[in-house]
Amino acid sequence: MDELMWSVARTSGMISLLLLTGTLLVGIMARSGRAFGGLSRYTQSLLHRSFSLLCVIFVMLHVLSLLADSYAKMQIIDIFVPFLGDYRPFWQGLGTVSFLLMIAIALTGLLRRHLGQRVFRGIHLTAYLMWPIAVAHGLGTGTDAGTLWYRIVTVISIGLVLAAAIWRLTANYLDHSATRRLAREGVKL
Amino acid sequence: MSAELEIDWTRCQGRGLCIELLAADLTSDPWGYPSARRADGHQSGTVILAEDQREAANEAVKMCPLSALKLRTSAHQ
Amino acid sequence: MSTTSIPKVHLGVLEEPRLLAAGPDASWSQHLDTFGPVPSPAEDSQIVEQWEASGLSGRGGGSFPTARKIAAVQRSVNRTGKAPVLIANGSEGEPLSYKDQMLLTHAPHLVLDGMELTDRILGASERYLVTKAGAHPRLLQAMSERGETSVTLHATDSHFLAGQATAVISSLEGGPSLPRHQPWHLSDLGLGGAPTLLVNVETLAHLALIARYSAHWFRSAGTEEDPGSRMVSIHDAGHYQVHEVHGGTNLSVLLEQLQIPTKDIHAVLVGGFHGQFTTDLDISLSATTDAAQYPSTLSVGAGVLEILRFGTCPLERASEIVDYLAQSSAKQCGPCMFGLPTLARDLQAVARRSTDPQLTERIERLTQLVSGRGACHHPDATARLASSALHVFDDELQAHLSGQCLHKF
Ligand code: HEM
Ligand SMILES: Cc1cc2nc3c(=O)[nH]c(=O)nc-3n(C[C@H](O)[C@H](O)[C@H](O)COP(=O)(O)O)c2cc1C
Ligand code: SF4
Ligand code: SF4
Repeated sequence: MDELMWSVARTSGMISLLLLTGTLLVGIMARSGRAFGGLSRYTQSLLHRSFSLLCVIFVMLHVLSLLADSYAKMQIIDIFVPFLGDYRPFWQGLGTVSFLLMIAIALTGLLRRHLGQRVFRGIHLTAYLMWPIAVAHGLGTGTDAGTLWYRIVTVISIGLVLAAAIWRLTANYLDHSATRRLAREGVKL
Repeated sequence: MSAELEIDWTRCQGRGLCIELLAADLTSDPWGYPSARRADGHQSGTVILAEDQREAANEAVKMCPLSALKLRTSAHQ
Repeated sequence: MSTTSIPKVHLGVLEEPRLLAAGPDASWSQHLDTFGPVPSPAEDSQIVEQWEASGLSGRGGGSFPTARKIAAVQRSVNRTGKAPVLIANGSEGEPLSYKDQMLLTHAPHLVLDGMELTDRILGASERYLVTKAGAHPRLLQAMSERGETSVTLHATDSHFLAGQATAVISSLEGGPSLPRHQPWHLSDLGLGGAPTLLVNVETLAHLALIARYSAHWFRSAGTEEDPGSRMVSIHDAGHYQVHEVHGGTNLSVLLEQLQIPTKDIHAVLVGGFHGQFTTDLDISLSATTDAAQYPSTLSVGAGVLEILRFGTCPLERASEIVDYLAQSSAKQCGPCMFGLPTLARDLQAVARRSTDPQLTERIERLTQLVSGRGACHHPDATARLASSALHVFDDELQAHLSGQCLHKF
């Protein structure tokens, strides 16, 4: 039984990380307001939402399977309060932090029409904090962290997210940024 | 009865999602903001939509990243 | 002041001042000597009838019939049971307008009378008088003279948009004095969600006079379409003057009376920075511009006239104004934030005699593009001013497009 739970936990953790990276990348794409080839802005928004919700489901599975696994010695309180665990408390705590942030981000994302743009944006932008925490959690506590393929996947993810984040910060990131800049420079007497 | 899309211009940041979904009624201005195709399309803050666009409009309202849209049913016209 | 009707000799400046009848810096006793006390509550229902019969339209720029606004608030109060709020708008954001400041300095008691009456009739729970901070000492003095304690003075910013209705509400609610997205009427959902009557201070002063002297008296000035009188601020060569004039007055008659030689005048900007140009001086200045009567009747908006004399380039002036308006944009709404500076830049190119053959077409397109696409009417009005400049100054435009100027050599 423990064996099964253990492998469910590892697999779901791994899939969560991939989905999380996908969510982040599509979020950055969507925010630019650009259509990418066949991916319309609408499709990007749908993908972003679906990836993130799937991600939440896999993280739940990840957490529940660890709870059921006696070897991990995880308590219910560890899901909600970081750094209390017995097994690698720091790295597991990072998992708790990113889990809580993810729930907050996803919930406020779904409820954004009722919360107002400022609350939504404020919480949503912590995604950029949450992602590296989740990656660190995976590297620090993951059983598979030492394997070559896990490292390759992690390195590629970090590379993609870094590239996207840098693109996010460039002046021409937003669609129409050139015409907008031109217009803004219109009156400068 | 016609459908009217109410745009909160103070919120909209021209991400263009509604323009995509309502391509028959909306086009992009040079800065990426939705602009009515019909000459008389803009009526005091709202855009009059074609009759069969209600469903697409509902989707745009739901998915607008800035929550800047509302759908109204109006009697005029 | 006589309450009998004044014969309409000709239109122009009022033969006998109405709003300023109590003289400069009128004190409470001078005010009472001139106008008498406000009518008693027993007359409230007649007062409402007289307001309706007067045909008074708002003097804040939009020229909406005031009695209809009051009735809408009353209906909303009856429907919701919520106590209404009264807001007197003396923000006067338009840089060429001085009439509200003039009124608040010389006839504050008439404005306060108007507030007292509308408040009494509506049963308002709160009343605010919104002006620039500079007007407050005089108003506090006037309020203490008459023992008025229920009016809250509120200071607004002095930028162009601060006087727009939703900007005033936002400022009163502790937010920035910028327009808001407000697809519903203030009479239904205004300050803090209460039914709200927001009127210009001059409008309130007229209400106070109509309540005393009747609609018939009010209509003895002005025309059938534009009854009563209004304050106008007139700018000419760096000087300004404020006068109380007949509604529907003829522009050239007015200028003659003010001894501004019409032969020196090339054009007049009617209605201030949200107005329109005219080179024809034989027009009437009215509350609204009826499409059928354009251009023989122009809306004077909040009562601002700017005189453009020969020797100054009107396209340069128009460009300056549109620049100012573009910079005044609250930069909240995309089409306004990006469209107005683009319009300003193209108009500036015209003013600088660029020979780009596509300029006029581009400007026309921009004016259509920005209209109706903002939370307030700022882009619409700016576009209207720009296109009026191109149409009215077509000769100058053609000269500029070929690198010439008819006014500067
Ligand atoms: C695991 C959860 C999620 C993560 C990590 C995430 C991440 C992101 C990121 C990184 C951005 C780009 C933000 C920027 O750079 O400004 C973004 C944008 C956005 N996300 Fe999410 N997101 C998540 C869940 C959701 C959910 C559930 C929704 C609900 C529909 C949502 C709706 C949005 C919207 C509307 C935008 C803005 C797109 C635009 O402005 O065009 N997100 N997200
Ligand atoms: C950009 C803009 C600026 C305005 N500024 C003023 C102002 O300074 N004072 C004013 O009374 N009304 C101003 N208005 C009009 C108000 O929105 C409102 O219509 C008016 O105060 C109502 O009063 P009234 O019915 O007595 O005219 C402005 C409107 C716009 C669109
Ligand atoms: S979807 Fe929303 S933000 Fe995007 S253009 Fe339409 S209204 Fe503006
Ligand atoms: S239309 Fe322009 S001035 Fe009016 S609220 Fe929007 S940005 Fe501000």
